[in-house]
Amino acid sequence: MDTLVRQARKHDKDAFCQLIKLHTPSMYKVAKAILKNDEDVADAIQETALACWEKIETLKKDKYFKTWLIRILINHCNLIYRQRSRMISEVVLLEEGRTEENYSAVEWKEFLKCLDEKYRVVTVLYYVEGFKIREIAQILDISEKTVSGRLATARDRIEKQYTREKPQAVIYQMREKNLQKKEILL
Amino acid sequence: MSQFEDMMDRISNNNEVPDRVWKKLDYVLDDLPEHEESAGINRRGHRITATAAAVVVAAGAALCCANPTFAAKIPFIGKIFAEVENEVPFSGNYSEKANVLSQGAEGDESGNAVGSEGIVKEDAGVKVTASEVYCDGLSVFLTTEVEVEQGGLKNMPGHYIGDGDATAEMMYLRGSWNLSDGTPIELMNDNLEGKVVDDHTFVGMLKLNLPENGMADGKVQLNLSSVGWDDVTKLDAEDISESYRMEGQWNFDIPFTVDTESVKEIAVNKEAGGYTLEKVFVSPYQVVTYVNVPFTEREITREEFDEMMDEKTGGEGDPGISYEEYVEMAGRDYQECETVICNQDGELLFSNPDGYGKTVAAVDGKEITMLHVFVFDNFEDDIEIEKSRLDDGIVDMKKASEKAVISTEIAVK
Repeated sequence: MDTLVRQARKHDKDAFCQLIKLHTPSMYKVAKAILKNDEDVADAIQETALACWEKIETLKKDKYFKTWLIRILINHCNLIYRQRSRMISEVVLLEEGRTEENYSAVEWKEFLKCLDEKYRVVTVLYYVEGFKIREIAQILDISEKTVSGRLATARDRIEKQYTREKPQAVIYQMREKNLQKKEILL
Repeated sequence: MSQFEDMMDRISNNNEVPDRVWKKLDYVLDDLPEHEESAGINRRGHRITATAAAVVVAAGAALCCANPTFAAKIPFIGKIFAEVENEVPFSGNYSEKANVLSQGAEGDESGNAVGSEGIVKEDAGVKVTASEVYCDGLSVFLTTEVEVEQGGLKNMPGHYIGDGDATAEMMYLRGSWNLSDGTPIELMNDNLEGKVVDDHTFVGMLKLNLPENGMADGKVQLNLSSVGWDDVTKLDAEDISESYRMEGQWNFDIPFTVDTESVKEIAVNKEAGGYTLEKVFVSPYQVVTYVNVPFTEREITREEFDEMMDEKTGGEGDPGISYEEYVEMAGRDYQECETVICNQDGELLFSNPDGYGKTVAAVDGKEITMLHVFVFDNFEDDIEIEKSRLDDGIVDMKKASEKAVISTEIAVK
């Protein structure tokens, strides 16, 4: 991954394209947590890719590429969100589910229904993408304690909607799995 | 597995991306502009950058003298601490102890008289006045007024400063600072926190954390290279975290004296589970704890280092870091360390980590005769304890003791 970043910083288009495509699933999940609607998510990812290409020289260190990328993505998502001032209704989500009839639409619907945007973003960044709290604070430009607090609140809110079945020891296993995934990618 | 973990696991394992997203992405990736073309592209909207700032300076070379905004009497110099000290993260009574800065014998280019209050520097249409300084032995607290000739400060949003909903307005500072003859330290999370006075004026406080062994009177050389801020009405997605950034040069020499009666160092040296709570510093404004955190080493051979640096520099020039420094920085995977600090009544001191094992907590006016310090090796326990606070903000210290790797009481008075 570092090799691709180095090449991309030298304006190697193929390396840059490969890098962006490798991160697209992550970008999709983060953008979806903010925008909900796939059309807007597609716009945000498109704008992010172009912005990153144009600003690749401003990346300070190769190892911070993903943090930098996600930060630009979130800024674009916020811009689209504010410009369009749109809330996706349950009707729209149901329609998407009926059209696509796939499992991922259902699980996203569940996730999006439970939490407000500010909690969804930190949750995806931490539990799904494996960013550290310090990194999330930098990405979102909030304090680390605010990040921690929102994560705890998010977990709390989701769990209140369901019966708690087992203790929280499994959370360590899931984080470990995310870290292993990151190492494989790197 | 709980429903929450189930949900996160499903989302985490699902790497499906809808076709419409791939199609839009391919469209842009297939047609990336050549980099020399893209350098000058303004795709959408404009933000005020150094280019625009330079235009302002070129067009108004005499502005600093003739412009009524700059020429007007500044009411806050010498009194900024009084204005902001209760509205910033490390709140406290500074105004009664701070020294008011004054212009040096040589005067300055803006015509300030010798001995006038504040040290003034102007560049790029921005006037920065360093107003007062105070040092509690751990940090230098500096108040500053920023005047922006073009205006645009009135839409500055608040930023979270604690674990609740309290906010303060903030300007982003870039540059570096150092003690006399010291190594320059990049300004990273050192922002100016305070309030907007009017559309052209901001007053705030800057906190510079001194090196651990820096408890002598001295001078801070502060070199600012840009001043930036957010605007809630303009979110320029290309720029990370600043809607506006004014680039220039504002260099200050700030003398300070250490309030030696203010700070207390307490050796603790309590070890458990591989962690060691080494010491605690206490001042009326902050509590700083130092924990030695266990780590595992990742081997980085010199050959790997040389290869990385050659890539970085193209085989020429100094990479700016030695092999030993790089190994120390990148060759260690530290375990998690979260520190919770309460006073004798169980009131939580809002804190933030500041490097591996170092935690800086704000006193915020609380009385401290005893400190309860809990060191956790994972953030979930840390959050659980913080959430255990009752309605009056008191932490469940029994629960904290049971979950912490290190739990200790430290007498302060």
